[in-house]
Amino acid sequence: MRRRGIDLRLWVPLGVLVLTIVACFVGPMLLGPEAGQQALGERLAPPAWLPGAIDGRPLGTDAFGRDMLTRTLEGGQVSLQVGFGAATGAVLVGMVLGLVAGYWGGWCDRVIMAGADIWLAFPFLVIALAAVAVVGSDIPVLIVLLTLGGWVLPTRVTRTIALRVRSEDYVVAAAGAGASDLYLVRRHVLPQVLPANLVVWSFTVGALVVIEGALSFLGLGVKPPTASWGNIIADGTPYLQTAWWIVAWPALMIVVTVICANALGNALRGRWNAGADVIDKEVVP
Amino acid sequence: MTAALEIDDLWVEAGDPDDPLVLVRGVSLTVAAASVVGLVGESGSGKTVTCMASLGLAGRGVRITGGSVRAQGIELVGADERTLMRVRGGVVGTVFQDPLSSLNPLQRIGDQIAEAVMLHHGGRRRSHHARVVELLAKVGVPAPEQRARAYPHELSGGLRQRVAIAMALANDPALLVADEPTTALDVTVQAQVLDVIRSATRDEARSALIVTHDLGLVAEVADRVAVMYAGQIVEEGPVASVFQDPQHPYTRGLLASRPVLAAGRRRLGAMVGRPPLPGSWPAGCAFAPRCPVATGACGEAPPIRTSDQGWSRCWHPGSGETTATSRAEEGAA
Repeated sequence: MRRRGIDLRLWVPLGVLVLTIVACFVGPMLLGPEAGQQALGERLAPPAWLPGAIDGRPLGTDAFGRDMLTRTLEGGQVSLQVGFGAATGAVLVGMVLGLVAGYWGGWCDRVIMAGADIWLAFPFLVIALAAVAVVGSDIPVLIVLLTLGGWVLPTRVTRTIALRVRSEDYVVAAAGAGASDLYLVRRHVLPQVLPANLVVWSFTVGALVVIEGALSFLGLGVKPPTASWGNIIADGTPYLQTAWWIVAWPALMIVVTVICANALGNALRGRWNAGADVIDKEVVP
Repeated sequence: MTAALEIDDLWVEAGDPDDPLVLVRGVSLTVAAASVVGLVGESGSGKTVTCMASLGLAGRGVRITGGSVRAQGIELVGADERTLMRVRGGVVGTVFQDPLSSLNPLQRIGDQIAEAVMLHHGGRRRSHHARVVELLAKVGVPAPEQRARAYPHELSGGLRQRVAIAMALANDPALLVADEPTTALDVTVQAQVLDVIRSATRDEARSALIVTHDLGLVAEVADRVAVMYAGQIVEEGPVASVFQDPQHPYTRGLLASRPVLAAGRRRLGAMVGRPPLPGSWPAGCAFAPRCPVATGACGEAPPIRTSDQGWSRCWHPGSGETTATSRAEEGAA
């Protein structure tokens, strides 16, 4: 697996993801605030290589004359914050619950795993719809909501590994040296569940960016004029036949982000073979 | 003087409380101060469970249902977690069978030994470096300064077991509990590790309970020996008298199935049948179905016969000349 030189399967997706993040958060500042303003005289201008393009609008403009490059990058800020934030939250929640369930077992385990099964039985988008209707939909709310959408996988993966590690001889040996449960979990079990959870985190980023897009597309995400990849696509749908570029750029960004997140997860799983069997078993298609 | 370890009528079971699997049936065993006791028996006889359950390390689902265990006078059965944590590593050091799996593969061995010190003396891992090097030197690890930075996979099996022993000795415990400490090692390395255990016990007046199925090991390091069969101790006494004049037919069988160089070419003795698994232990004397001297009386639980130095649990103690040997000789003829 570890070849001489650079492992492209790991570094290419990682590089593209980092580039995407930097572009989304730095790009709009370089382009200036003017590009994101509405300019009704410049409505629906095509990308630079098509006839009728406007100077300084390389990816065209939308129905309000806003620069698509700026809009797409700004939309990425929301989608990426929500996707990465919620994936991080989901993995943290999942590691805590999974360690409790797997290490302590007993009724803790039964309650947590039953909760996970019941949670999966609910249609998540319906719950999200209800939650957004009640508490609104700014970025923190979306992060919490999608954390709830993603906690089951890391919980299961962590539990399975913790269950295996807790009866390893070296954990029993450390207990025999006088270590407390909390110490054993922190020092001997946690390091064993980290690599698998980083892999899960990567896959979860991909999944949650898609879900965020779906929520925004349905009008459950951040409210316009704040852009997100999902709501740009929603806004552009009526113009799909005449101005395809409004939908194309944010859709392309979602595709690239998700492919890279999944490829990164795959590369990490290949690199740290530990936990791969658990992840394969838990990721039910 | 307080005994290092006093196990009194210990009962251990596992599984469903309504339909339990009994693993240990009323084991009583005393490890006197500065003495070494060997606990021998076949796999499944309950010797490891006895030790681990005594320290509360037997794992989930394994329960102590009766009896008492005192380490240096401290009661462990029903003790709170705080007491157990103080005793484990502090009063009782533990060595496990497989030195590879009993060391965390992700941590440097120096850190793991320092951890054992830190858990009882506080401070940071790094502040115990001098003690770590001292311990490694004591168990005969060459170049201890450098080796402290090694990971378990970088060491040989013998060195790993020395490290595990160093961990067990980290807080100068009064009692060392070793669960088959040499089983996973090469024969030549076994002797070296045995020396380490011997110097850690005899030279420092430390007590030890050594679980093993290696009778040679018992003969070399132990003062007393307890023979376990089907969850019970069937014979206990000083090593010399038990080995020379075994009272229980099971002990005789074990001794007869041991290769002896001086005996020249002869077939090894073997006991008929297999040791029964927990849950299928016969009523009365559990050894009766395999016993060459069993009679109708053996359907009843045998009485405990005490001699001046030990005791055995048999209806026909000391009877019949080493039958397993004679049968083996017939087979060879």
